[in-house]
This record gives sequence, C-alpha cells and structure tokens, in this order.
Amino acid sequence: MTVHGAAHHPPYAELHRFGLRLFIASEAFLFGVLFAARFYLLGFERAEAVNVTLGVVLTIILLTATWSSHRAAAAARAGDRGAMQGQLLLTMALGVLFLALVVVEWSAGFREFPISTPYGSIFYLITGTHSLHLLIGLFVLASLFLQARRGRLGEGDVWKVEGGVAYWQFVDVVWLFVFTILYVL
Amino acid sequence: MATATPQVERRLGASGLPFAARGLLWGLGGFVLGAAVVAIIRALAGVGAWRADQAIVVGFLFSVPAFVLGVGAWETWGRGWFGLETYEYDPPGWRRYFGFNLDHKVIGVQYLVTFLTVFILAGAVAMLMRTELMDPGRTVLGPASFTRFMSLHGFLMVLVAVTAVPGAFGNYVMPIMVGAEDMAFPRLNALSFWLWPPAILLLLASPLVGGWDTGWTGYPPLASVNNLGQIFYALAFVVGGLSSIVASVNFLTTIVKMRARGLTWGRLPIFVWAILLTGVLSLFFTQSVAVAVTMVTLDRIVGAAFFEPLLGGAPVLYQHIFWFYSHPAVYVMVLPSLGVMLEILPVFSRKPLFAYRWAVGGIIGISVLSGVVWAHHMFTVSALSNANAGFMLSTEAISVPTGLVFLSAVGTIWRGRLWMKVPMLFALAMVFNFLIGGITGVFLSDIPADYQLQDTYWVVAHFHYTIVGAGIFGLFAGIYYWFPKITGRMFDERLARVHFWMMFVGFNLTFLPMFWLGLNGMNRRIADYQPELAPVNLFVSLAGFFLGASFLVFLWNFVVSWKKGPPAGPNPWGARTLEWQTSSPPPKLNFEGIPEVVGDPYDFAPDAPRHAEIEVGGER
Amino acid sequence: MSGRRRDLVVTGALWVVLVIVGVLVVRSVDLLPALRSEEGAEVDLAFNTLLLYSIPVFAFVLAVLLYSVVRWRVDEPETGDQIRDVPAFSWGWFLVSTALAGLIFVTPGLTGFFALQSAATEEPDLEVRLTGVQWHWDVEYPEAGVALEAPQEILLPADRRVRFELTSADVIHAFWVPAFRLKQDAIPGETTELIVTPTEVSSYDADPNVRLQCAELCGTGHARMYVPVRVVEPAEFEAWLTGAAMGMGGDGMDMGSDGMDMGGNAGHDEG
Repeated sequence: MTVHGAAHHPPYAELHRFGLRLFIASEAFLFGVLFAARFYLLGFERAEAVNVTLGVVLTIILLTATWSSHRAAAAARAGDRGAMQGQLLLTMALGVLFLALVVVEWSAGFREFPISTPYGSIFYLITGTHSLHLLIGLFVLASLFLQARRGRLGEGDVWKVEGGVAYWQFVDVVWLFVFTILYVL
Repeated sequence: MATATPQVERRLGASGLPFAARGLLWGLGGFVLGAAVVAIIRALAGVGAWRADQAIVVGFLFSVPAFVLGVGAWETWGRGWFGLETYEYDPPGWRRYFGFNLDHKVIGVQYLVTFLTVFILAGAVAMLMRTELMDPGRTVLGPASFTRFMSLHGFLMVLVAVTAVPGAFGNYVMPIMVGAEDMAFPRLNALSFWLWPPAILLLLASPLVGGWDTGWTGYPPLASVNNLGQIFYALAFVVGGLSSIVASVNFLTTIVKMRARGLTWGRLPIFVWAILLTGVLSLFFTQSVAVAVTMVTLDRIVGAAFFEPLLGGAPVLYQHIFWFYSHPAVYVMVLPSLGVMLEILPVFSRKPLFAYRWAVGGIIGISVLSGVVWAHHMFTVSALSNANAGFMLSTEAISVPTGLVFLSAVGTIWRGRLWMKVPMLFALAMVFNFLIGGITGVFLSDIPADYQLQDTYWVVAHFHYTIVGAGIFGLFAGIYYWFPKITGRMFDERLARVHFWMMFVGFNLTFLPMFWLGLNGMNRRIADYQPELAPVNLFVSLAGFFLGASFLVFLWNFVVSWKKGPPAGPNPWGARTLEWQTSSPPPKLNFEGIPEVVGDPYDFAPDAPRHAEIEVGGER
Repeated sequence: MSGRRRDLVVTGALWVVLVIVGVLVVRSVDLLPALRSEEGAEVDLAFNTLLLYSIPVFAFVLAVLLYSVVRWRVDEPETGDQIRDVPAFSWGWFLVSTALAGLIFVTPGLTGFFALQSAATEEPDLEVRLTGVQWHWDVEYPEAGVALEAPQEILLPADRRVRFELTSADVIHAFWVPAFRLKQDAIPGETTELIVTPTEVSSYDADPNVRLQCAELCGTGHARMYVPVRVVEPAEFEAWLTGAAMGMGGDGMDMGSDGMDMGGNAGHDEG
C-alpha cells in the first residue's frame, strides 16, 4: 500500500478537503450550465401549475437536513459516535422523505407540464439532476453510517464525515437555487 | 480506506479470472440489470416492456460502475464503503495492467497503450475515408457509411487528443516531476482510467447499430432523429467526461498540495504548469458537454423538448452549451503537448527555457480566454448579429498568449546547441505545425473571412494542424522523450527518425492542400465533391496513406524496443527535472529517498546547482 | 562583425527573403476562386489582408527556426548560451503581437463586419425563400407567387440585390454559394436571412462554385445536397419568373420538380 504521510506531504485529510472543494466547484458549473439553459429556453416564464407550496415544504426539509448533517459533523469532531450516527440517520431520513415528495411532485407534474414542453423538459432535467446528486449524497451518508456502525471510523477519520457532510450541504444549497429559478421566478 | 487496513496482496492464482475479464462479466450483468429495471418500470406503467434506446441508456449507466467494481475496485475500494476490509491489487508482471491498479506509473502506461490503440484504429478509419475521397463519386463506402465512419473517426480522435498526453504523461511523469510518491488520490486515478474501456468499447460497437451521422459535434435536430449510435456517442461522452473531471481533481490536488519541498511555483517545470491549467479547464467545462448530450438523449428517449423546434425547443442552445465545453477542450488537447514541447526544447538546446514567466503567463492567458470564445464556432448561425463582434475580439485576443508560447520556443532554441535527437525533431516540428495552425485560425476568427471558410476543408486543415500538428506530434515527442524512462530501454534511433520524417512530410502534404480545397468550394464532412477538385483530393489521399504508413514504423519500433531495446540508464538525455533523477523505470514510490528541490529545472550552466537533491535513508 | 551581430543580421536577411518569397508565392497561386457577388468582395478583402499580415509573422518564426537549426546544430550535447530572458525582446514581442491582434480586429475584422452589416440593411430588389429539406432545397419567389420543390437549378438576376429568407424543414442546413462567398445557417423553427447581389451572368456549368451547397452536416445526403445556380440578365429572369408564375396557376408546380437526382436524395443508395 502506498504510504502517505512521508515528511513532505500534507496529511491525507487536507488533500481530501482540497480535492472535494475542486469537485464541488466543478459540480457548481454543472448546475450553472443547467440554470443558464433554463433562462435561454424559457426567459422568465414559469409554469403556473408548479406547486409552490410543495416547493416550500421541500426547501424546509432540506434546510432541516442541512442542520442535522451539520450536527453530525460536529458530533464526529467531538468524538460522540452515538450522536453522530443518530444525526446521520435523521439526515438520511429527511433525504428519503425529500425524494419521496419529488416522486409525488413529478407524477402530478407529468399531467400539468409534460416533459414534451420546454418548461417540463427543463423542470425534470434540473430537479432530476438535483435528486440524482441527493441520491449520491445519501449513498455517502449511508456508507459513513455503516462504517461507523462497524467501528471502522476512528479518531483520524473525522474528515470523512466532514467530507460527506460538506457534499450533502452543497446539494442542499443547490436546491435553494433550484427552488428560486423554478418555483419563485 | 486510510484506516488500519492491513495490506493484503490479493494475487489471483491460476484459478481466478483476470480482473479485466471479471469486469466485463460484471459489466454485462450490470447492463442486464439496468435494462431489466427499465423493462419493469415500463411494464408497470403499461407501455410495453421493451424499448431499445431506453434499455441501452440505463443498461449502460448500470454497467459502467459494475465494470469498474469488477476490474478490482470492489476489493480495493468498494468494500470499504460497507465497512469491510479492502485489499490492494498489485500482482507482478503484465497482469498488473489488467486490473484496478493504484500505481500512477501503471495507470500512465494503461492510458498510453489504450489510447495509442484507439489512435491506430481511428487512423485506420481515416485511411478508409481517404480511400473513398480518392476520386469523386462512390469509391468504396457510399455516403451513409462514409458519414458514419467520419463521425467515428472524429470522435475517437477527439478522445485521443483530449486524453492521451495528460492521461499517459500527466499520470506517469507529472507526479515524479513534482517529487511525489504517487497522485493525491490513487483510487480516483485508477477510476479515471477504468471508466474509459466501457466508453471506448461502446463506441467501437456503435457500427453494429448503424453508427451515427453527426460527426463529433452531435448537433440536434439531426442528432435527435439519427440512428441509435447517437446514444452510444452521448453515453461515451458522459462517461469519458466524468473520467476527465475525476482526473483533473487529482491532477490539481497533486500539483497544488504534493510538490516536493523547495519546488516553488517559479521552479515548476513547464509541463506541470500545462497539466495544471489543463486540469482547470477540464474540471469546469467538461460538465457542460455532459449537459448538452444528456439533453439530446432525453429528447430522444423520453420525448423532451429541448432542441425540438416543433415543441418549442431551441436547436441553437445545444451549440452554445456544446462549444462552451468544446472550445476549452481544444486547449485541453494542445496545452499538455505544448508543455511537452517547451519541456523538450531546453533539454536539447542545453539552455534555460526562454522567458519562463511569459510562457506560464501565456498558458494561463490561453486558459482564461478559452472560456469566452465559444461562439466563434457559430458565426454563421446568425452571421451579422452584433454579439459576433465580441467573440471575434476575444478569439483574436487569444493569439497574444498563444504568441507567448512561441516567444518561449524560439527564444529557447536561439543561441542554444541543438542536439537533434528524435524528441527534439518532434518538438521543432511542433513549432512549425502549430504556427500554421495558429495563423490559419486567425482567418477563421475574422467574421468576413469566416463567411467563406466556415464548415469547409479550411477548417479541417486548420484543426488538424493544431490538434495533430501540435497535439499528436506532442504525444509522439513525449513518447520518444520519456520512452527510456518508462521502459528503461532505448528505442531504435534510426527507425524513430524514419518515423519522424515520414510523419512530418506526410502530415504536411496531407493537410496543406486542404486549405486550398476549402477555399475552392469543398465543404467538410462530405462523401463526394465536385469533379474539379479530384486531382488535389487524389494527392491528399496518397499523402494520407503515406502518413498512415509512418505509424507502422512507429509501432514496430515501439513494441520491439520495449521488449529488447538496450538499457537506457536513468538520464539518457542529460535532463535536469526530477523524473530523470531516479532509476528507469522508477521504483514503486518513485525515489529512493525524499527529493528536495534546490535549483532551477532548466539551468544548464556547467556550474549550476542541481535541480533537486534526493535525501536517501532519511525515511525508509 | 561579432558573431552575435552576424546571427541577427543573417536571420533578419533570411526573414526578408522569406517574406518576399511568401508574397511572390501568394501572388502567383490563385488561392481564391472567382468572385461573383458584390458582398463577397468584403470577404476576399478580409482574406487577402489577413494573408498579407500573416506572411511576415510566419516568415519570422520560420527564419529563426531555420537559422537556429543550421547554425547551432550539434552532434554531441554541448552547453548553450545561458540566456533566460531578454526583457526588451519579450516585451516587444508581447506589444507587437497585441498590436497585431488589435489591428486585425479593427481591420479587416470590424470594418468588414460593419460593411456587411450595412449592406444587409439596404432594400432588396428580390425576395427568395429557401427551405432546406433532407436533402434538397425548396425555393420560393413570394412576390411572383412561385414555389418550386427541389428544383434542378435556381435562377437569380444579375446585379439585383437578393434577400434570401432561410429556414429548414427538418435539421440544420446552411446556405453556401462558394462563388458568392457568403454562408448562413438554415435553422428549423427560425428564419435567418442573407443578402447577396450576384455581379455577373454565370452558371454551374461554367463554374462549379456557382451552386447552392448545403454547408452544415445534415445526414447521409449532405455531400450531394447542392443545386446549381444560374445567374441571368434581369430581363431574362423576369421573363422566366412570369412564365413560372403562369405555370403555377395550372396544375401547380411541375417546374423542375423532377430535379431530385441532381441535387437531392443522393443518400438513398445505401441503407
């Protein structure tokens, strides 16, 4: 196994943090392009049928999940493994609830603004891409949870939890933009 | 992962399948699973279980992770996600190249061999195209096959141009150049390579479903109504793009965070700078092309309206998104090669790289400006709109930083002592070729001139002069330069010279006349042309065959020298950068000690301090 | 003369020689085909100006390359002169290249662009609607009420300003008559336009560049999606148009509609 941590290398946690930031910047570009496409195609038009109330509910769910994921990272830093697992579970539960509501929203949306309309195309592409990222985030959190359960997260692994949480929170922040440009504008 | 995972070398005995074979098997399983998911959902929705395009898309997206896990990522990585023990795959001998190996040197060789193979295949397709174009009318292919082979050639070559140099040398050489033991994220590195085989196999299989007609640019609405092969193209682009992004995270982190002590930014070898900026471009812009081809795919498989004018979509939107990536991508294709060129010129002139800071500034300037020039590919979309003037300005502005690369190149050879070994021949040829490519690009950036030149053979000639004349020549310059380092053996100098001269002469004879063809009414991507253009086309075809033959010489030399070449020693060229201060090939962790950089990489004065000291015995 | 000075002088002389040779070559080889439109003059002017500018740039780098390779070639490695930078030269290079980029942007870039723009605002004498269809062009002369499906050739009057309205029935095509120089995409769901004034009587038979060629990849039949153009005297054009309009009154458009195997549908020879 490659031995990292020779004198002149920064600790792995630092590399990981830096790499994750780069990846998040790249992902931000992805959503930036999607948002630009929305304005190119639709101008400032909005489908009247879009369910703003549901959008607000979704936003609240994700904001809550941002908070609980933050608590999970804090617990990991404090070495409180039980609290960390609890907060991770709570965050994942909120994520699953979010996805379930997206499914509900889509099945209603297919009738109001089908995918064969420009609005529908953009709406499902953006929310779909976001949900896919959320799914990846869920997978990461689940993996962290499993590793913690099996006692594989030690003192030196706080950065793993921090990394997973940072990605999760990025996806949450993206949602705020999604909400703004699809529901509000 | 990095926790107390005991190192268990898992050697697959005679009983086990090679990991690459298991990957194919798992990939196939993933495909079936994905297709079944689609079938089940469709059946539940009551719309008939089978629909080929949807099944292929989802099937492929399932098969890629399954393949990657199958080639060894499961043992090395995936088990860790579930809190299980992980093992590293590191068998001795040739087997190490056929699994999820974490050593950046193994990955560099995997990239090199894979993309040389793709290069040869796509070159063979070009031979077929030039056979068809030897005379007007139908020769061997007919318009449908021609268009599809043209598309395949274009796209495969784009993948080679984007990937080969950073993949091979960015992986093999760059970490050694910065004095690191490996890349920052070895697993991500292996992932970035192993994403490619599914994408390439998919493309090679695309003729089975009739290929696709849109060239490598994939413009809708043609792409929306085209053969099923269009979906193969889109999927390969997405998966290859993911590989690029993952690789650039790795490059950037390695360069920024893992440089040896003393390796300041002002001492960084120019090739590392080129890889750094290439990484920045891939990291950000690649996302955009994935969006573009995904939207086309959604138009096709679920009836979305993005680019369908009858449904209110806008076909031109695709071109914006596509070129927002694809123009920076052409710098992804040439910057690493220009880095190779500027790396080689000082070594074989025994002179410092001239105007180092200007050269770095040039590379940075090109990268920054490359993000704001995309619409110059679209001047004829709305030829007289005012926005075009802005893109003309930004495009012509990019000639200034590009000129700084030339400043550095010609300044370096001036008053040097030119040791004309094969890498140097290639580097000098690049200066010449890229000069023609650059100047002819200025014509295309000029809106009035572009009126005549857009979508003609002028464009074909121009981008082959940049992408082949600089990009691919840079690949071969790098191969000859680092061959002794990678293999520990020296190639046959005589055959290498034959290859160089055949390639250089063949290349120029092939592509120079194309400028004239374009001016005289030959549009690009056509299976047939006006009879008046026949003599020049015949000449181009014959020159093209000669160019093609040069790679047979190369292949022979490459294979034979790798097996039987004489030992090269650690530093046959007398270069100063770090990769030459270790054995050939380097040991597993690259150095026998910890390198510390104490001097300039290009200071060839006899009394100059070394570039780096390697402190032996301190650590292990 | 010191060695250093001699290097500069010889390279400079080589540069001058190469520039002269370059100019002579460019003058003797006919790079551009015959021009047959008024607006195309801007295109040719731009092209030729850029060609002129590019010769000294190309010749300079080539002169340095050639001289260095001949003068400083060695068979065994030997230390070169340790010059890291010559700030005056580097700054000069930077400033000259910036000035050149600025120059070509202003002229021929902007000047040509504005000339083409202002030419496009003038009133046209004739309107022609072109619709790209895989793989032929449909032509309509709306003022005369003439619509031709996949005609065998397109007639245009000489010395008349023609405004083309372009669109597409399926995928993206592009208008290009090489002898006219101008190019404009035809995009489904949009109408784009292009103004051209053919300068003289000409035909495809005499010059294959007098053809309307699709210039945007549109599928299998793309290569053969072209239709000959014939530029005739205005009087002859009027007579033809009137005749065509009368023909339209009867059983509709049979005017040249059997032109399918000329320009169109070349792609059907293969699945």
